[in-house]
Amino acid sequence: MRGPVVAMLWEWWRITCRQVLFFGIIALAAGWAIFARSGPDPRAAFAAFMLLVSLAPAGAVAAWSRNPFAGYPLPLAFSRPVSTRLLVGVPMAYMAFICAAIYAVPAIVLRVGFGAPLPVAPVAALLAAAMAFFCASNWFTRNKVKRLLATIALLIAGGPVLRWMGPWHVANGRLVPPPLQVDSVQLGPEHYALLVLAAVGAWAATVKGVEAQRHGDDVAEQGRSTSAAPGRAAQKGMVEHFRDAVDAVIRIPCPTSSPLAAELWIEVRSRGLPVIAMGLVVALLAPAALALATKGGLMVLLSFAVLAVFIPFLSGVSTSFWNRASSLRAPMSAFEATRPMGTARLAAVQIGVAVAAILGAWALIATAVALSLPLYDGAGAAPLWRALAGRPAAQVAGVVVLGVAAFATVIALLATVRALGAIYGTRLWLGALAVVAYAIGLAFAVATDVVSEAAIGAHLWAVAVAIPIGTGYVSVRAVAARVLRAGQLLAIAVAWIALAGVAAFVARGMGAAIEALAPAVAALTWSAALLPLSAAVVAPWAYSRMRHV
Amino acid sequence: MDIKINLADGVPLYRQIVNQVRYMVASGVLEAGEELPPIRTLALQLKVTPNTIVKAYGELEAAGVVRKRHGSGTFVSDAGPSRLATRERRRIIEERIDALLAEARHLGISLDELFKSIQRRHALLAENTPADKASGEE
Amino acid sequence: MTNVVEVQGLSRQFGTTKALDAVDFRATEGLVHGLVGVNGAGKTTLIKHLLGLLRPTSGTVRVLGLDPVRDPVNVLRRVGYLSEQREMPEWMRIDELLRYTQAYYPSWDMRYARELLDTFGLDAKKKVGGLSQGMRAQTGLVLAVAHRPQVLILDEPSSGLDAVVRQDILDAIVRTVADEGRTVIFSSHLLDEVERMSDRVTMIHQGKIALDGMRDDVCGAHHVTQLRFAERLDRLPPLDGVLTASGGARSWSVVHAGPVERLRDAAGSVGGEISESRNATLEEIFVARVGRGAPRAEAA
Repeated sequence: MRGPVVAMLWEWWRITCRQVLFFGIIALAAGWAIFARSGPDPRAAFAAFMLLVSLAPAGAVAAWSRNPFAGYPLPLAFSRPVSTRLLVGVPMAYMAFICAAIYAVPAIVLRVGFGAPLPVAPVAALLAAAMAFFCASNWFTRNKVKRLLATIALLIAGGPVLRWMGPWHVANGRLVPPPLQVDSVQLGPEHYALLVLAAVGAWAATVKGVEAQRHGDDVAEQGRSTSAAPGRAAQKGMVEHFRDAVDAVIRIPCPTSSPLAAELWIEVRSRGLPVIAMGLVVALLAPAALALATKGGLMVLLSFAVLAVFIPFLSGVSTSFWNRASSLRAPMSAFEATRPMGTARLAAVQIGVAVAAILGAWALIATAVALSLPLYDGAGAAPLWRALAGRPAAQVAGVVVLGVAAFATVIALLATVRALGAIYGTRLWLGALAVVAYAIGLAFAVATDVVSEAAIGAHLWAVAVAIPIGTGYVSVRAVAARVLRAGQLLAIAVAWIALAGVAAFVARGMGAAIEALAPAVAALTWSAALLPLSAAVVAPWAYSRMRHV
Repeated sequence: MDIKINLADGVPLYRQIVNQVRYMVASGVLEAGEELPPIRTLALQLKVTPNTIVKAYGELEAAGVVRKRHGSGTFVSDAGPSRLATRERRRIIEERIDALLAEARHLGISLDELFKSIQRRHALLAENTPADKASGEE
Repeated sequence: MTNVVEVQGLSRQFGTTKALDAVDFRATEGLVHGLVGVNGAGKTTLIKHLLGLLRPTSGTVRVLGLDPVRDPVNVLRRVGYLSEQREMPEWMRIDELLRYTQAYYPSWDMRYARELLDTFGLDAKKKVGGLSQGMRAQTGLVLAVAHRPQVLILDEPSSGLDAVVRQDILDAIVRTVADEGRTVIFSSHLLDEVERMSDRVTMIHQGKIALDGMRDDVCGAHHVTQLRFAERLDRLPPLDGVLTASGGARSWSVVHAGPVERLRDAAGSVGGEISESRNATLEEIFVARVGRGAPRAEAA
């Protein structure tokens, strides 16, 4: 290999090549599917365009989603004889390039093949610059709060670019995008110069930040980097910080009466209370946010909404199912796996506390928002209460129960995916990404009337059938492997039947009738109703696979 | 070259090497003009830093036991091996005698008793190993 | 002989903790330098300063005359480094890793690297993530020595390794110094290893230099001496130079610094005499100076 620059490019390519190729191919295939149907129609073109533009950065970022290092993603490079300027510049340029390429290559192919009116150069330049800024915002410091703020600032700054595309309007109750032409996005030479200048500025700022990381300047604020890897010491995430803060205030001794109580204690302490504390902090910000929204407009409200929704959710889900892996070899740390407790119970406690914590945090935030509404539009939450008061209490309770059950199902399924991901690694992630990309493509195709309803129907039937079969299979396997005792399985089934009863009651009360739905949708609805059961069975099974590799 | 070093000896490592080389020269295991292992090889064999070997060889050279030849190696010097050997042998024995005397004093054994013991042990040894006396070992 | 490493008055603070306190350290060309100290004493912190991975709070660090923070490329090119964790990209195969590292070092000798792989019995097609601890250390060692660095820096090279791999590490140290007189700096818990392999020993304790000198001088300056007393003693009275004492009644064993004569006089004044004395091993010196029974104040 000739020289450090080539070596670095090779290294980054090897790390990201699978995601880049995957997203690139998906983008090309989706675009192809759209234009093959509709020709160079500007509306379809817009759908394709949005698809490509969202896949490009997603692809670039996906490559780093599993990187455990905060700040500069490859701190191993700090002890290599390369200047920091190159250490930052080469990867940044690379990431910008592949982001632009994931958009540009399919765009060019589609333009040549179908005459699709996709603008290439200006969008590629914008994407490259955006990626450079995104890298800068994530690499310049290990501090999670600073990085989050930088990313939010970036997202807010990106808003005006979307508006630039042209007039969006509403027709027939649907949001209609502007028709796309080749010159819909135009950048003059002064714009290009500005982009280059801004990117260089971002690079320079990042070099400063990475220099500090390289020479351990920021370790001082994070605490001592002991024998851990250079970036790992600074990995004390927000949840850990909150956990320490909560510890300073409340310190309940661990109950020794039973393993279940102790397990609950450790989960509540390490995840439950910190997440709720985070929710409390966001809730306290609600009045300020709403007061600002009257001046700052939609963007402030949107940012707050994003914070309010995602912070508790990501924190509640991240530490438990992610950082538990102690090393790259064992998916579950020995400390956890060797506890004399049944896997099913362990899974139930973890998932249960996560659900309770996230919902608790959201409840706090919702209360704060409801109380601060007068600051925003004077009327306050009165209309909301009126709407609720109109319904019978049983109905409301039933909806709440269903909501909680649905959320718990989602969290359990997420835990399952993460657990399986820890074991099967990239194969699973690629599979999941493929499914998600397929679904997105399908959704776009439907939204632009490219695909008929019948195709959707077929897909729905397939899913509707897969869920019960899958659940049955996993149940049998779980019981055979003694992950779930027959009694536990029975209890789950009984609970699910009760839940189904509540669902039927609520549905009847709301006047919805399943018979009125199209057969495919009805089948899917029946199957989806089975999901809580599936989740309750699949999660312990996945945990057991993780525990006994 | 069969040298062993012992960390717990309390004697510096280079000194142990020096002593053992002198012993081997004195007892004829190393003959005059024979080449000693290169520094690197001996360092690898004993798992010590090469500078220890350098120091040891340096002291041996200063004492005239070995001689360096134009950077091509270290050789046992041929300066009167028998004279060297005799001097060395005497030195080694005198060291042992010093230790024996010190121990005897601690245990409260007089010089007369010590002489009698030596004669007794010598007679016993002569009885049990009649043939080996001529092989020239120490 | 020139100093390849010059550290003067180095202090480093992490928050409120003082990891290093006015440390002076010199590494002379062609020697093996051993750093010893308890966990958390500051060995790794000192080593990281030599590589520019930490910036001093105060004081100066110069490696081969250059500042590793301001001139990382020229310093790191001439330095071979094996970290305690042997951090390497997990997904690379060993042969890819060799080619990749080669790109950074103009003085890389690929033939030598391959020879070492053969000697260690490493399969070049294996991924780093799939290697055992010992094989990781061997791979890391190859990366550190294959470009024939002027200074080889090893942080706890033998930790967690079996006896066979440990030999490989020691051999590498010997070879580096024996060939063209390059310099080695290594930190270790294994005091017998440090004793055999060091020319110069530096002992760090609580961020300060507790001891620094040529190995033979350090070991020669400390003795383990057996004392016999005329009367039974419950406790040994404080004697000049004594670091620790053990034993009871009439027989005591002490570890002390300074010439034996000094102890003879001091012991004589309280009715004791010396029966045996020998040089202390590095381990005995270490335990006496920084172990739990060690005196608080600095002994001579």
